[in-house]
Amino acid sequence: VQHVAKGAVTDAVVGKLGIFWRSVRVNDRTTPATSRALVRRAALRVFVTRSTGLGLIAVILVSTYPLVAATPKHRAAAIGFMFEGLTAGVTNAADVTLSTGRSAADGVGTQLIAGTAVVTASVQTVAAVNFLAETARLAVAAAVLAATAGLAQEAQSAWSETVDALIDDPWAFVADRDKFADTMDENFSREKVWSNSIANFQGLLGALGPGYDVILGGLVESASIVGWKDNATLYPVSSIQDAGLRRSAFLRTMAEIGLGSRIPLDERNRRSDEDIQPKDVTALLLGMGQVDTLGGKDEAVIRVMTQPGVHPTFTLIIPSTQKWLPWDSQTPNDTIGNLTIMHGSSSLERVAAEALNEAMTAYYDQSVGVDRATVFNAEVMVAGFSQGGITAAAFAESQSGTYNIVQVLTAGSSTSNFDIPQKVSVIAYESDPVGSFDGRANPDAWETITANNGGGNGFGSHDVLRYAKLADSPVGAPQRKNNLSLFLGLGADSVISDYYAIKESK
Amino acid sequence: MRLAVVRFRLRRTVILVLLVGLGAVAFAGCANLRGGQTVDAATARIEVLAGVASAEVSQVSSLNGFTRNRSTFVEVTLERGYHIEDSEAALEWVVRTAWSVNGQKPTSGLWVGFVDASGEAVDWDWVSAVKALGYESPFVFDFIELTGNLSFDPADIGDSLGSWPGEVPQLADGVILAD
Repeated sequence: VQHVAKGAVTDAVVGKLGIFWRSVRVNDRTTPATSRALVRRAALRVFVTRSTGLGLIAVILVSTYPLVAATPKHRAAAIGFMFEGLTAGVTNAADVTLSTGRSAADGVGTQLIAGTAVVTASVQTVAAVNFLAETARLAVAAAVLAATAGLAQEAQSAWSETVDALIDDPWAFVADRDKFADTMDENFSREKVWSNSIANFQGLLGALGPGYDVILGGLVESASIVGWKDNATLYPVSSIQDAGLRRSAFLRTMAEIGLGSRIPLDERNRRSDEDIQPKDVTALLLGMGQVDTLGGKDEAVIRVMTQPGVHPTFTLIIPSTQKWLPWDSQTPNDTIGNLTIMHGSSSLERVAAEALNEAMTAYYDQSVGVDRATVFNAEVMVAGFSQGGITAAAFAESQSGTYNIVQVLTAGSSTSNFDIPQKVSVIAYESDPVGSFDGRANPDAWETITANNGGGNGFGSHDVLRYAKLADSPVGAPQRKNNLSLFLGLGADSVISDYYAIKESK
Repeated sequence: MRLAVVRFRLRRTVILVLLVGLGAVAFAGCANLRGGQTVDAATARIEVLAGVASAEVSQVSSLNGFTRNRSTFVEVTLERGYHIEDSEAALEWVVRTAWSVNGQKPTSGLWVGFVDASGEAVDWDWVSAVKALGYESPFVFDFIELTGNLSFDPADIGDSLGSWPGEVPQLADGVILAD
């Protein structure tokens, strides 16, 4: 590792980090050998990150043109093939650096005299901030390139179709001067620009191979060093005082999207702001929107819906991201939660398991003639929108040995990297770019629904209400065999229990 | 040579940090000076009015994907034996009060209403008032039975209310009267 970092690379990179260098120079006066080792380690991190970024950009530029007509899957494979040799060494080096970097720095800190412990901490922080910034820059570069390539692909396609039309009927173009522009306009599709860009971005992320996990791990580690931690505690009672107003606000958004007829009615057939019963997929998706509105950025509302009976079933709804800025967050469904769950598991996933366990225990305690094994082996559906869906997939991967999970339903979530057992039916609504953030296509065994939900397949489509509306239409209804009938559309109302998770420390 | 470069970069970084800090302070100052009133101030102002038993002023927000939905609520509970005498003036005042609450700009709902002492919604001819004020927009009356409030889309009536946050309105005499 030290060999790689020696020489010009170290000098060049350290020169970019004035503050970092100054910190180390303070250190240098006391223990030069240790400080130099720190410089090399941190410099290597920067070198590795930048090398990855530059390599990625180079490969995008080289590979975009010849891959214009390829399917996303082939495109990803081709980019991955070209990228593999370049990234293998870098990825391995990054893995070693990131996994050992923090402990090495901590070790150094304990060896130094008391006053220099602070310097060690600042070295860690500088390296962490640098990693976050480098990764963000890399992501933005990849997104811009994917979008540019997507636009170019569609422009080329529209041009080709227009020229074909011109060749077929040149006189029509001679007679009408505006026809060429009009035909270009007709052939150009913004939706296709989005779908091209999404496929490109997914291909680029997929091409990172193991580097994808390494970068995620680095982000989680760096965020933790900076103080943005992932944690949560589950409570049975809500901490918010204005739940009634939040419920009203959600009803209005339902009406605005054209789902006013789905607003619950009370026993006198008047509109009600009560919990939305899971009558069908649309209602299930609306339930996701309702828990998001209820919790907001104050708490993560995790909902368990129990279909009572001798053989009960349980539906677990996990909320979506409610805070994008990573600092000063009091809910586990925030940006850090997104990073940690994409890396494998999160606090939100853990408290979701607690909530399900609580609901099962409560049902068992309150039921007569139902044995414990029947309750805890009951069929379970896990569902969520955005981060909630990612967490649902992670939950199905990690908890299938504990619970009898038979159905997963997600919307606007990147889930393909989770190894969900084959017995679990998976329905994934992916009409927006977020589904591509995992870098590969979903398994064929899953039912992936990508129809336009009214948002044009862009980021405007990342909207749970639009997904609910889509599910209410023929093109949005699941077609394959699944286990939804165990949970939705049953005669009796479900017993709905909400649980509330808050971060222990912001 | 290298030391000079490092010093230059360090100086540049310090200046940048100071500028960002100054900007943040200036921004925070602007936020305080941007007018309107806070939730607490609005509540206090309403609750001292004759005929008003209590007021609930609140702002809620949630994320739906990348879109943050923000709503402002102002609900006035009248004292027993009082009623709305001039529904048009009352509605304009309460809508403008909601528009003056400066915590967050409402994007998806302005909810306003008057309820009687028992908390029940009373129709003091809100339809005519909405029409007269030109506040017509979809779903205004859809939730009055459930919540006691009229709900307006800020996008529909924001233009007629001026820039946000609006000035704090004064309730004219004779709008809320004893029976």
